Amino acid sequence: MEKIRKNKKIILGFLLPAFIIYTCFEVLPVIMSIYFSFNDWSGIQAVPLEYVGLRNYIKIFSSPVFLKSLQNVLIYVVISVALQVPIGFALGLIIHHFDHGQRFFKAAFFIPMILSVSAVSLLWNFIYFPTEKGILNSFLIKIGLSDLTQQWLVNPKTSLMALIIVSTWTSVGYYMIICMAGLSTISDSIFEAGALDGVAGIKKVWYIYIPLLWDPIKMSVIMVITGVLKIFDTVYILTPSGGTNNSTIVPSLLMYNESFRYSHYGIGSAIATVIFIMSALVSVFSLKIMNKKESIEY
Amino acid sequence: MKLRKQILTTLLAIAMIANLTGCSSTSPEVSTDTASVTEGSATVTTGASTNSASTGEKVKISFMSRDSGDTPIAKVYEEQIAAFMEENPNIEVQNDSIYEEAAYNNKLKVAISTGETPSIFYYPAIAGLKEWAKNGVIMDLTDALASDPEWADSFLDGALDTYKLDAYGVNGIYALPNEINVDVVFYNKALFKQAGITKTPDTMDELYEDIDKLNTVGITPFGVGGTNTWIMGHIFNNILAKRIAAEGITELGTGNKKWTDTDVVECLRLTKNLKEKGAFADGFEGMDYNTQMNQFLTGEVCMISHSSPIISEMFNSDSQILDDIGLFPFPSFEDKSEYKDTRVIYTSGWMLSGTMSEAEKDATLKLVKYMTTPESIQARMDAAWRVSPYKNINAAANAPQLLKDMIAYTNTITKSVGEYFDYDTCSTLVDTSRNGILNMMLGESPEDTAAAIQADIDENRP
Repeated sequence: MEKIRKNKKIILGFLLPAFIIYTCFEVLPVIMSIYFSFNDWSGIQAVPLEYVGLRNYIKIFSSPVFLKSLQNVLIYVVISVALQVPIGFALGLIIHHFDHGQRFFKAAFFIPMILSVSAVSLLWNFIYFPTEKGILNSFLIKIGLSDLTQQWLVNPKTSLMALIIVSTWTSVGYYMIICMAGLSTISDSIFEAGALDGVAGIKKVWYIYIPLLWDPIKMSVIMVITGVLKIFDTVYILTPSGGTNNSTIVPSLLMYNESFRYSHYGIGSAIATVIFIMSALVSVFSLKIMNKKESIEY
Repeated sequence: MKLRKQILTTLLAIAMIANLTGCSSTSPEVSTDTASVTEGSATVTTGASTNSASTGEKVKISFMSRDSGDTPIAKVYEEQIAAFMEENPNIEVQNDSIYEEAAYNNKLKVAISTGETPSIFYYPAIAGLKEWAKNGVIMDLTDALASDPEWADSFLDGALDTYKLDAYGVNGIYALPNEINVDVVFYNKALFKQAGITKTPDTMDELYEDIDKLNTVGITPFGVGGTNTWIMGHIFNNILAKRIAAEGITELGTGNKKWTDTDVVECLRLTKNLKEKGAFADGFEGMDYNTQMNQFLTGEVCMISHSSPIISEMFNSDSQILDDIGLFPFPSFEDKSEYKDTRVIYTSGWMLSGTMSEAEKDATLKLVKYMTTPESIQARMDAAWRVSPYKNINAAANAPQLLKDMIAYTNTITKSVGEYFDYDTCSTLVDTSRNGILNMMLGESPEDTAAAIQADIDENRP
């Protein structure tokens, strides 16, 4: 075994297929996408690419719709991080302490994650239905808050938040599982030592759980950020036109429209590149902030 | 240790982001999708086919429509393709049809961008075909039709003109009209009676009166699923047809007329007025097409503006009101009586690849002629009640009266026009205008809506 480990050729042989697949299907498309973003192309093979320099970028950054989509997705990211990770980890911590029914609750909270986005969207369409027949509106009427009834997905003031809630509902189960996986690696002796020192309640969360779960938390935050920056399906199904006055438009939806509906492949690629750069910047920035609080190893 | 962890976490984050951009990229996806296309439609390869013709091997062609799955029309297509292959053992037809619109468009665009254009395909555009026609992606059918006068004569008079692109600077006929979706207002006769309405409205003023009568007895006049923006778009299109007619719509598409012109803004205002007159249910802007249809088929709303293919959908449901459904043409305006006979018809056509070898071209023309024989068209009419632009096609004796009425009405049409964006080369117009109309229903002024649409056209029209 040791001999095999030292044989670099064998190691490279095992790594090569994965490296080739990753390069062909991940790295090259990114590079090609950046290349296409400096060109204009109508999507017809016989028509050659036309180099246009930064024109596609100038066009998208002078488009109020694109700027609105950036604003929307950043709001989406901030609120999603603030909701999905804390709720997911809180659920994980609570359920971890259940003596009975742990499996049931794990499954119950994880099920939305494995449902198709179409099914989830259909369900939330019933909840957000714009008349008094909608589940949410009818609930508000029943508890005497009929003034709060809304066309949730149509009203520009509520539509983005309505989508964020759908994403949160879908995703918290995933972060709950990550939290529980993290918790299973923590030795009981740490809690026993903490108990002897009188650490309990919120102090236990702050001084034991959060530091020990810091790496899973960091990873979860990055996953939320990268996941939300590419959010497309939920938005496309629930508000296919990008919402009233573009209230729910996001860059991925714009990119899809520009590329596949309008055959503006250069502009679509420029939007993809901006999403890539934005994701890199936001992720690195977030990691930098989170790395200031170092994780603890015992 | 700390540094290693930081590097690892950063690398992992970058990998996730790369995954995102990789998935998001456009042309690079071509490389992956090409593989799947190659398995299907892209079995059409020029070299291979030329060779196959000379060696007696099968010529492979592909057919791509939006009719797939277990729908009646999809089954008929499958049967007709199978029968064609049986009669022509040297031709293999790959049916690559996809029902879901976005998936269909994605596959078609990828196929065209890689030079693997399906032999026969459907695409909802007229002016939008200009670039494909200009660059040889689709075939000019003028010669094929001229060489077979009997075939050319089987189409309804003027139907082939739909796909003449001369007005856009490309000479020729670039698609064969396959179906015509005639727009009408379907209504519930029982609800009309309940509201005391004794005849269907001929003019918009009469329609407004009927809307009042329906509202008085608590019946919602029109069902509209606003989130599917094409529904309000179709209502607007009917108003446009009745006020500026085919000539005005063509001028709008070719840029000789602007959306900010008074008569176009007036059409937007009249569309908005329908809401103010109480034509639609509260909250219709947030409802979808399924809700609209459910409301109509359960007798909750009285009317829907829709086209002929909806008849088979309605009769495939277990609705209790089917016998009460009637239809009438979209009403006209008294001050524009000269356009009262202009009807909205959405034509869907078959485009043929312009990049095929001679052997593939011959096989494809053979297939398309086979699919447009009176027998084939009648079979599709009988099975799926699709109205086609061909002569001497009638509803089967056991077809519902509504379909017979629709065909009888279709035969009376002398002036027709399609969807306004079909006449415009601006690819973004469909979304900008439909979203604009929905926003207008939610509060924007017709003037601002028109200005926003015109600005988009000025920015994006090639």
